[in-house]
Amino acid sequence: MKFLDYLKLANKQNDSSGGLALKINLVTNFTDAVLVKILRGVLLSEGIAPEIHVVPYKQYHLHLKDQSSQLYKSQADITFIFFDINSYRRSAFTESMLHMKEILSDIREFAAHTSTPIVVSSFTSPYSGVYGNLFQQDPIFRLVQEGNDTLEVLASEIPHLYICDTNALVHQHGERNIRDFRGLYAFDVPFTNEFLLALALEWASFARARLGRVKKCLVLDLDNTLWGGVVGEIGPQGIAVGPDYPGIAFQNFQHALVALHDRGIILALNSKNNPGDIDEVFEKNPHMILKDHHFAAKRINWEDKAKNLIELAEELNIGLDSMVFLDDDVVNRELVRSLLPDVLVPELPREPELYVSTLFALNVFNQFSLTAEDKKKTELYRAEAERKSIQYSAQSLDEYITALGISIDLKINDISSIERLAQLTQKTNQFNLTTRRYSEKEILNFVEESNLVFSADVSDKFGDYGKTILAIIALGENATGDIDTFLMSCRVMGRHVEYGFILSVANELARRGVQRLSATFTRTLKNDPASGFLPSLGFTPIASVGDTIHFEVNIVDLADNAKQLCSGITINENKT
Amino acid sequence: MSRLTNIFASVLGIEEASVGAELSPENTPSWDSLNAIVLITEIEKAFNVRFEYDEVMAVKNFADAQKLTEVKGGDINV
Repeated sequence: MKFLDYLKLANKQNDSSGGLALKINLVTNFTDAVLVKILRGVLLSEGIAPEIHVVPYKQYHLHLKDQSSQLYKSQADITFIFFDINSYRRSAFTESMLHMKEILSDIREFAAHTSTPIVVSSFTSPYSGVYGNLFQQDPIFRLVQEGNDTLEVLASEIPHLYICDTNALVHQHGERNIRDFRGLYAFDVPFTNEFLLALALEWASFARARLGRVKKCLVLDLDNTLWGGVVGEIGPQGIAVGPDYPGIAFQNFQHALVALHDRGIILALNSKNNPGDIDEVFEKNPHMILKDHHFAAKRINWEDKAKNLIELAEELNIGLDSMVFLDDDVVNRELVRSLLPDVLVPELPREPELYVSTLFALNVFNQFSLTAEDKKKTELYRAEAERKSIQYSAQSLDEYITALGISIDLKINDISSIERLAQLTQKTNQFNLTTRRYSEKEILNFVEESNLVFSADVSDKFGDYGKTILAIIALGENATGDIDTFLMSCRVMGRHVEYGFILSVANELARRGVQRLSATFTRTLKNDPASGFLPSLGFTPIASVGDTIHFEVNIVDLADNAKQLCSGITINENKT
Repeated sequence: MSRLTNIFASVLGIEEASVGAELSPENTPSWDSLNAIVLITEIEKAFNVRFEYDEVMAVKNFADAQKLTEVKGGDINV
């Protein structure tokens, strides 16, 4: 889609009905009406219905400071801040360092009083100026440098503050193509439409992360995707991968894939080949950078690739909409696009040297944090495959669960893992009763307001699943509590972990004098796996409003029912 | 439908059928000063032409924009 297409969409769909609701704060120092419109268009095209609150022209200064301003009151899900420091025009920013310092301290103040993600765009480095080659001595260069340094400090100190790398966007487009000087002087719109679109697309990737719409898995074809040539024709040693062009381009693509794997993106294979040929490539071709162990799951056969993708999604227990499929063959791409529209299938250029930049330009792997769980993901998914093998031999689910030897380590208010706790709320879509997304600070607020944040590390004899289950219980008056959030990573679904966990939660609540527990289930497109959870534990529905059902249960009944349902699971209640 | 018509329809949020010679800020509420600059920059980009400030200011309706684009060498028939 191009600029005009997004504009058309924004104009056509004036109401924000239909689509995932997202409240956005926007703070800039220029006339941003076109930016707002294009951002709306981009988000609408992705099924997100934004409600954008804009700080009035040139009033950012007052609004960031004023806790009674709309900026604070709008309770936005995410705030985008963008200040243009234009080295070609005098402004409050270019006069001295003071304005920059003040703005940054205002942002810090704003962050201290809000808890949803704040995305601040880094300040663009001036491209040329009066100092020429002595640019380091240019006051504006210094200003931008110091501003960006301070911004990095802020981002490291404030867990819900993120930097949007503006300079990367400028590099991509070239400074000559981002600025519109006539627009700047005549209308105070300092940027070209293309740059505004690039910025909106970049922000959309943060919006997706906020809504838990992240890509988790990259599925790859083999011939002419990971190496040059067809292995069935030229043999495992004849394929183009190695120190000479084009083999070296494929090697570098493989290096990039290993790096993605190391940061937690799951890799999988989907190709039409003889499995024996591929085993030989991985075992015997010395130039391969990717090894068999990098892949969490594989479908190497002569079936159609859409069918294989469905199976891979099932095996890995992830949604088709969290998968990206890379294939050099246009017929396969079209097939998958038409049969599985949820899978992202990017165009791949003919030249292998462009694969890396094409992949990174997708910008679909943004997330708000990287945790230890992310980095060992493939390990986790491989252990999962081993578990599947006993599952097939077990006579019943109970026998399977007992054979796994699952153990749950309960933690209460585990601040040391707050990053992971927030991430679980941001990424869990299936087993999630309320699908409320929280930042680290919002989780912290629950703890500080004397509510209880339960979580557990889950493991079995095949390995650790990591911290994969979370419950936030808001304590009320008269011995009551309410389940604000109850979620479980898809990694541990289907093995009664939720029952063992809620048993220990119920026991702890009972110890603290809670007698009745309320809960809600809010239906989304994805959380059907959680729909039967509350009824199975004896929760009684008491009211239903739209997609939300309210339940209640007596804590003694809850504990009794949970106990019946969690046989074979060991619970450790250290609670540290 | 011509490229020029598409630009006006997309930017102003109106049907392509209602883009005609007489279309103007007077009869089209969405043709405000902000959309005027978007129109100009999008026409310049699509036809690879460049307008002077005075020329832009003299555009009073769709026919003017069409004429100006043609004068600058843009092929308005595509």
